[in-house]
Amino acid sequence: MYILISTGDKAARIASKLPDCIIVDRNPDSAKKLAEKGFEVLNEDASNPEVLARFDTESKMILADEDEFNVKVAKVAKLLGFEVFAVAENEERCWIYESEGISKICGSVESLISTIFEKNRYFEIKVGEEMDGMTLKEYDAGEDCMVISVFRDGKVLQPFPELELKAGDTLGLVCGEHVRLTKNPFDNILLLKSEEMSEREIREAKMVAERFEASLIVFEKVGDAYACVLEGRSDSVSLEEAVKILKKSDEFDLIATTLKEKNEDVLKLLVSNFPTLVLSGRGDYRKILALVNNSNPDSIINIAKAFSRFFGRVKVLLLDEEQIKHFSKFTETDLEVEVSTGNPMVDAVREFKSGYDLAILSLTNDAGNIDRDILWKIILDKETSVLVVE
Amino acid sequence: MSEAEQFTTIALISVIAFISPIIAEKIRVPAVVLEITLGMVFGVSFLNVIYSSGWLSFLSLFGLIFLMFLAGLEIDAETVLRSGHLKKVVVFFALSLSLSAAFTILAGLSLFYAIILTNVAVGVVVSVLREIGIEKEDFGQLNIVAALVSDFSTMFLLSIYFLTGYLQIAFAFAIILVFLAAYRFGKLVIWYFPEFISKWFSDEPSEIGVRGSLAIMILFVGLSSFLGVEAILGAFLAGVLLSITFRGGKKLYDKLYGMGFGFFIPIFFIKTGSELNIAQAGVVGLGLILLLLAVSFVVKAIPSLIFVPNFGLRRAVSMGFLQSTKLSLTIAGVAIGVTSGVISEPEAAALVTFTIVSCLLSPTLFRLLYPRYLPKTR
Repeated sequence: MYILISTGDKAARIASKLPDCIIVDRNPDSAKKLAEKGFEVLNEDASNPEVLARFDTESKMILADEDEFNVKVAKVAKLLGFEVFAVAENEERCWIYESEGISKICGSVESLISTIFEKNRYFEIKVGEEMDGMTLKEYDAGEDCMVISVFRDGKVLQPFPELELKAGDTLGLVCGEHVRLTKNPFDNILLLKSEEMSEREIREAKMVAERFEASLIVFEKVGDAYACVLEGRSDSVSLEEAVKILKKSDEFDLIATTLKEKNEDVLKLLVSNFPTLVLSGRGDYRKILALVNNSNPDSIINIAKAFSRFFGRVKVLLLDEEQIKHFSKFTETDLEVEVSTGNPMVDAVREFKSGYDLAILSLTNDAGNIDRDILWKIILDKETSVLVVE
Repeated sequence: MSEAEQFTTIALISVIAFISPIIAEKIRVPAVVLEITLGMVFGVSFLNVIYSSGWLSFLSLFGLIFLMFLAGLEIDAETVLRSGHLKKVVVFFALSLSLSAAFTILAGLSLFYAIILTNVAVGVVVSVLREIGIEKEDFGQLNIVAALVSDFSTMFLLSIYFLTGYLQIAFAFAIILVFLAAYRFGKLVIWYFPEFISKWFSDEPSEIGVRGSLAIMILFVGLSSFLGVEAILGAFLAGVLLSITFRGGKKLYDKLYGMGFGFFIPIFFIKTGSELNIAQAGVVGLGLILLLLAVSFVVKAIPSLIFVPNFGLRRAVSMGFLQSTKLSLTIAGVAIGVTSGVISEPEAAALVTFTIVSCLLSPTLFRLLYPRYLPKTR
């Protein structure tokens, strides 16, 4: 179990990523709002030892309030023997935490989640009386977790949405960043809008944002710089600076833009920080193709799974027979998987040219044998939008 | 020679080609070594029952062309370009070639020997590394890249070596221009006609891929011959063209390897062996063989010292031994050298014997020297 000492939107963001979490919010208004959103909330002052003493010390404590308050709570929590994770409000003041002996200091919510879950982590939860009769579909494992097995009476059941849970069942969950990516990958989408961008391309970006229920933020290119509102102030920054600020702010999950010509440096800059959607003005993604052209295909598979949840069937073309070992990752989603049996590059081009609205591929391109020039022809194709991952 | 005698010779060669890999596997030597040795046994050196004929010469020449074509097909440009060792490997090759050239000049031999001494048998290098299980390690990859670079460069130098006059050199560059144009064209064809190209790699009975590949090979060989350039350059470039354009395609490559190593290439090796007169090599030949063996180790072991900072002294020297392994391309070079009059028959016999001994000795020395129980990289 996780005890989250936080308030407002930040508390909601963190709690939504944790499978079993109680929020201790000292602000009555915020606590009320969080409770209305369905979170388990306790409106108390966590710096009061009596409040923390109510919890099992096996629980993990996450401090994500103001730095001064966090440190105050940390002192109490350490005395009581809790394992403490802290999200520093101001990274420059991390020394305060260090001086209190808190080893897990995380500068952002995302790094907190990866620290907690160490990428992917498996754990089990006992089904209590209150969950008896609930279907798996109704069970909310949190954004970062998914049920991969259900243990009942000494047997392992394969999970499916309509499976009815019984008190006494044990749920096997896998949690991690990868799971979150497949469930709800995009909260905020940034549209890098250039002067040449057509209405159709802008509409496509809006369509994607709507489908994923994500916010669409626009940076408009004026001359060589991007006019944007960042950290509460209007500014005009270069692409490199914009990407740096966005990365630091931890808010964005996807960049949508257009590319009129091959520009390896720009695309590498964007893709190394965020998945990048190269728009072509498609109204919908009825046909989606994932070309698995990297040796570590998790990112492509996760995004393909996410798109299959929001847009329907996705065809996944494995360019290397070795990639079949990732096949188990496809079982629960609407993916059609095919392995290239001839020449992977030729098969990829043939499949791509058979007409898709969206193609997903990797810029690393270290599996299969797609020639760099051919890869760029695919990325710059006017008929198909391309989502490029690192 | 009667038709029956011609068929008898072809039948005998086919039987030798069939049994060679079976015996080679038992006694753990490369099949090529046995093909050449059995060729010697049945050829002019001993039994003298392999008769020359137009048929045999044609099949053998086609085997040589196929060998060069497959050597080109084996060039993995991606592996070479992605390697973090490429710059050092180029220095290694340049040093090796310079030392070989210095030796040949000092010994009063033709530069042909320098090319032969710098060459390396990529296939044997990869097999030995696989056998020890280090082909994917940094040291293994370094050896593969070094072998590929040496193989490609010596193959190219060998083709150029036999050119005579400015016109031929100009023609050789014309072929390279055709090669570059064909590469660009190939990529366009893949992009615009993927459906058609995918048939090259399918299992359709018409075997479009095999036919297309052979057509490309023969077109390049024909172009080379037409321009008066050595046919092996055309065959080699055709192989490289397919390799870098399609960048893989196991099924098709397997079929081409099957055709080449299953029939034509063994004929070339057996015929080459049959035409060597061991007796002609004599005592002088023995001296040349020993000298070449010693020099072939030195010209690889000294340059390999540049890798001492990366892998330590013992590993670096062991690399020198492995890189001194000779086989198919050396034999091909010898065959062309004899035909063009660059080397004499006794020299050819000595060179072939040197190649066989090198192919057996170098990997053995590498295995003895390679420090298996030391840390993998330093």
